[in-house]
Amino acid sequence: MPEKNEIKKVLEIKNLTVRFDVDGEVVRAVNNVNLSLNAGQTLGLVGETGAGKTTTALAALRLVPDPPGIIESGEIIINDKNIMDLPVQKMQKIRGDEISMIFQDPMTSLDPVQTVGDQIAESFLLHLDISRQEAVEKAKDMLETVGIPRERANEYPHQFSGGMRQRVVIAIALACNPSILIADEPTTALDVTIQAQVLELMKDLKAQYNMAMIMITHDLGIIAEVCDDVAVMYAGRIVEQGTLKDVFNHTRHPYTEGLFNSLPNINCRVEELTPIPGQMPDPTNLPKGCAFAPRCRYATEACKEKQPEEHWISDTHMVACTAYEQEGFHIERGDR
Amino acid sequence: MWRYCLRRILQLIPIIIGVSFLIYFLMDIAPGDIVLLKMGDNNMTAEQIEALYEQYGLNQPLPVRYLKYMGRLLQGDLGISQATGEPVMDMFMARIGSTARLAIASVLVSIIISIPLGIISAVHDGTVIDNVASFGTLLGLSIPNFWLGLVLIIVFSLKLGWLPSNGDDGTIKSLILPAITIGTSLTAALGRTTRSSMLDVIHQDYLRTVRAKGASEKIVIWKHALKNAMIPILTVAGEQFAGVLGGSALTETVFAWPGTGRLLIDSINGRDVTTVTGLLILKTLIGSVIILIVDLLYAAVDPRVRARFANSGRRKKK
Repeated sequence: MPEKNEIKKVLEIKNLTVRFDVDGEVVRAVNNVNLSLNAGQTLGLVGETGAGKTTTALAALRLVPDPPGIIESGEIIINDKNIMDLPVQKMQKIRGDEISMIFQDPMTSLDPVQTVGDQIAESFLLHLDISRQEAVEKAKDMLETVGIPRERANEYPHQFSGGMRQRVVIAIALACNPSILIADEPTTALDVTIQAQVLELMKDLKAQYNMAMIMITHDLGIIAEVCDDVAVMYAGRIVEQGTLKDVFNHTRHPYTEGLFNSLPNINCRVEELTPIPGQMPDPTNLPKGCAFAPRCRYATEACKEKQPEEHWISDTHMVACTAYEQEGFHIERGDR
Repeated sequence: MWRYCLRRILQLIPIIIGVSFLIYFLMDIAPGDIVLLKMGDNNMTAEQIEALYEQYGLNQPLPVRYLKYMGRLLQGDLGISQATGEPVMDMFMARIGSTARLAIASVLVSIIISIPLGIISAVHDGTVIDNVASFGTLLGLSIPNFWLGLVLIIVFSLKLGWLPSNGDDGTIKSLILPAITIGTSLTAALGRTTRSSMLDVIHQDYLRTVRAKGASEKIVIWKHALKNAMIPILTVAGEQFAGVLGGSALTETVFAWPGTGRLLIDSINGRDVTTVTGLLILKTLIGSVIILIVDLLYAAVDPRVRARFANSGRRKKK
């Protein structure tokens, strides 16, 4: 993405490659990913399960479990600091303070034997020089911010519903007012009615705290609702990236097209769903060429032979697809 | 919660009836009896022997003896030792202090060694450190108690002269060697329980949440993971405490420790049926009460258990 000097970059991921060594096999989870996030921006990271979205996010906090995970190469720059070189103690100061993460399943992401108040207060105690009592007071304020009565601070996670727990997780993540929030499928495990509430809350808080956010999801509806920019991931690579308008209205990558085609269309109920045929390739054995080629109806011999390069269609819109090297290639889905 | 305790205490009644019957029966089929032992090599007339049997009440059939014993037990009377003529309760009370101190010290030794080793094993699962730590706890299990006791006596009492080799003079010094002897034999079970319980917890999502807050590994493991892994650890430590409190005959014999374990062995050798039965009933009682206390401690560790206790009474009434 070209430089935009006037806007502050809070997060930049350059050439990130992460692999997992499991039982002698090498799982290539993230391959050469580049991402950048400006202050206040919301970036959507879309892709199927196993596309490497969560691993990318964990790498940004340096929380990829090691072993078996190894960050092979790449730079991650948070607020002008390259965190790959930082000693562990310095990294702990950044986690939760400058960059926070919300996890997918609120039923398992809270410690069952600590009160929710204590769990939020712990964030304050780790990063601010305040007394326990002050931290507990601030934790109660935080609970109110996410819409839970402050009296419930002394209750335990099992006394809360899924939606309420996710609010607590959000309170923990936002406690120290981070400049970057990574939300990893924050609503996937929730009921549809609760999903909307939690999304609404996150949108409000994001504006209130002026954070930049990466929204990881496989739900294109959520992307359309909350994101400014979108990056589509497939088999550990970003295949298409651009503004919401670029990706939704001027779709270029065949995989992105496949994602849209597999959505039900409420205006045309007779039409059957057209899922993308086949499965995502085995990450222990990725094809030599484009990883999507075996499922792609536009694939040529060239696609199977070499890794696609980045093609910049405009200042903001990137597509990694070899087919665009042919003059006049276009996918079926038209601009809309 | 009180209803729960009451139910558990009532459950003890059939257990004690069963235990007492078993002991009485087994002691009866064991060869020899107290009269034969008293007689020894003395030449006694048939009348004298008959008189002794009558004195100990052994001339009556087993069911009658047992029912008489149970009748007294119901009034809280454990009877009089046939060997010494003292009340069994008094003999027990004179020794339980030593045994209790030894039990507390042994379990402390076990906890101090095995919980850190278990945690280190789990954190470094599958590495050399894990293997060394697991080997250490296994060693504790493999070394026989009496042998370790003797080696400790040779090294620290005879050669170095640092610590007393036998008896309980009420000081910590005399407690050290027997406590280490019993404690190391307990480390294997507790260490392995700690390791597997921590392994269950260590990959849980909520620890990732704690790390994402910026907590150090020390906080993640010792504050969050350990508390979640505590229930199985508490169970085993509690059982071990109950076990040693019931008397550990071997170690108490090696160190000439004036505890209930040795008393039990002496009473069995002397065919002192009343004392043996009384001691084993007390052992059962103490063991059950400690396990009840451990069960109640679960509630202190885990709020979900607490909620279940609070609800159990209410649901019943419905």
